[in-house]
Amino acid sequence: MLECQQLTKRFGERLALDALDLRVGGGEIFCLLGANGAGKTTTINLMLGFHTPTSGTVRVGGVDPAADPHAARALLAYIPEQVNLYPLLTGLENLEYFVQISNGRRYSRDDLMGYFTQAGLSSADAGRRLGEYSKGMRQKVGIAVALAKQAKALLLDEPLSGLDPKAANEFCSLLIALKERGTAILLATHDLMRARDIGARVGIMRAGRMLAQRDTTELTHNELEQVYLDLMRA
Amino acid sequence: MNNWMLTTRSELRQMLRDGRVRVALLTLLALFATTLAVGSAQQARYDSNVREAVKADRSIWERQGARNPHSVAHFGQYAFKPAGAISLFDPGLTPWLGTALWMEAHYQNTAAYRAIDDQVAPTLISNLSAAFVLQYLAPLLLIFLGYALIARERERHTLKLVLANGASLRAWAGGKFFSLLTVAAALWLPSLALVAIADSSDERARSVMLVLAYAAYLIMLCALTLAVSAKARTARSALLALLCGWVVMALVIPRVAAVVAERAAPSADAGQFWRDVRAALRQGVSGHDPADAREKALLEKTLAEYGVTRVEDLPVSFAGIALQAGEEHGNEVFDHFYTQLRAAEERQRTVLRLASLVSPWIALRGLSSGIAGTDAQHHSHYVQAAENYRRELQRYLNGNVTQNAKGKDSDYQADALTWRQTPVFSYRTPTFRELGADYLPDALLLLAWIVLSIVALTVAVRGLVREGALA
Repeated sequence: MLECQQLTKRFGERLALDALDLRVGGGEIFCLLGANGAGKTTTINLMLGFHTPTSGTVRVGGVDPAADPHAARALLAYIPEQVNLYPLLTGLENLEYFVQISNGRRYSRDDLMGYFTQAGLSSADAGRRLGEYSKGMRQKVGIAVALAKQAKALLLDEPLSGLDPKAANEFCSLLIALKERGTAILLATHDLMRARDIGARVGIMRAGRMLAQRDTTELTHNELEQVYLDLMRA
Repeated sequence: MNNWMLTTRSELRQMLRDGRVRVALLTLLALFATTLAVGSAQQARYDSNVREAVKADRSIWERQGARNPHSVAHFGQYAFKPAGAISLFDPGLTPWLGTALWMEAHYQNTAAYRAIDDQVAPTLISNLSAAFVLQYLAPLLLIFLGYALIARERERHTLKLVLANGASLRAWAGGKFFSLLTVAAALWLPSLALVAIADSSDERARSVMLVLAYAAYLIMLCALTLAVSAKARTARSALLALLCGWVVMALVIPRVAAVVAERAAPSADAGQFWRDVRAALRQGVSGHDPADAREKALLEKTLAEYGVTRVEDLPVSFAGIALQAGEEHGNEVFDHFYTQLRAAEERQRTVLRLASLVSPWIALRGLSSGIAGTDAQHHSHYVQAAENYRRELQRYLNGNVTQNAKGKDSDYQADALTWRQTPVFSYRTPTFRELGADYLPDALLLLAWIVLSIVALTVAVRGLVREGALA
């Protein structure tokens, strides 16, 4: 579903991404690990079509996002670290707006409420203004958008930062549920433990290069941490 | 519902949920409605006063009894300036230009009874009009509502989220534009009352032109506001840029342009103007000075025309001929000085139009007061009509002396019926069709500003998605 081949991105003299090879299939969670500046967000921006590759290719469901960003984005849902929706609209109104603007379809209130609750939000929250939501609740609205637009792939950029453990666990449960529906999920995160728990594979990046890709079934938490630290020190 | 309608609905929903916006919008609408209502009441009172004054002045004129026509000419009459129905919307220069003109022998006076003279301390509020609300206060509300529409979404990465979900940038930006335009339309709608109260086809045409001009102006404001919002790095810098732009373009440039225009085409101050006029008049036939060289030449010419050698042998009163000759010389003098004055005003107008290239407010003000019939051009038309009447009246009265005062001169008295037979001054405001071409440059300048602002908005919005702008 998500595929990068020798994907390279330069910003002037700076090499932000260096010959990245990556493939995330439907029903798979791939976790990108790395320090700030490793190239995780650049990878996501290339998949969203906000950057044009310097060389190499990127495909979303077979679509080149640089050539046809609308077609690529129609297949995607995106959740950034801070989901800044519209604070004066209710949660349900935000969901309605983001879903309708993405595909132009009209949804009944019942349908929207269904996606809202599937994303782990209560029907009582639906009528509350988003300004009153916690960060975790706003992330869940993002998940509801992905559910409603039936995204084939979900791109998440540090969504777990700043969430309390309970909210992070709930959020990870939602990602697993989406994976089980067949959604391809690319999760950029610093959270090694949760990456190990929910990801089928992890990729460790540094300075724009993918240093290693591992199946999480092959590693314990400690082993993953050790591999990560070794690669960061090398 | 397409994307732009969706975004428009969403924005309006958010605006209306913000209590500050509701208060600001309702306050401005109330102020606008109040200025229209107060303007309407003031105009009704003015019209009533003018009707009574015209009646009283005419009554006094007709009840003069038997008098010498030249004494009557000096007694004079007033030419009152009527107010058009839509002048209540934009009083323009009316408070500064005077509302009644005293028409007397020998002098082309300027209009007197300026509203501004009745104010102990003229304030902004005392001159508040519907045009002022739309010209100066509506932009502030639109800036307040629009500065963050795009800038804040970019700043908070909401725009990235919207586009990442597959929204069309054009439709999204269009929705933002239409949401701001909807607020502008809400402010503009009450001005349609002008079309309803217009009581002639010309006033109706003017009202339509006026509301269209303000619609164009509000569209331009919305586009400019959003262009700045799209271009600015942060919402705060967008607000600052827009407020600075408003101060500079709406307040500073028009003031500076007026000073530059006055320097470029100085108009004589009133004192100097009248000193020059009197000096020029003294050089000619006054009608009161038998020693005057011009009168001697006139006498010789008149005697030759009638084939006689003495004044006593003339079949008509030479006094009447001399008075009319004095009037005609005076007319030449006044035409000379007033033409100079109007030429200076026209040059100043040209300078102001050039300044419209950097401030749309100047073009709008010129167009608005022109359409409302409250600018200098309309005032000149009224002054010229009064002057034409004065000259005609003087010709009639001097003709009466010429025909009837032979041998009596200043002892001659025309009977009381004479004054009733003089025509009543009846002024008709020129139709917009007659003067409309004068305002074409202002309309074109405003149109150019709309095109410019929409191009600026389009370029700024495209810049939002240039390589890496949202990453």
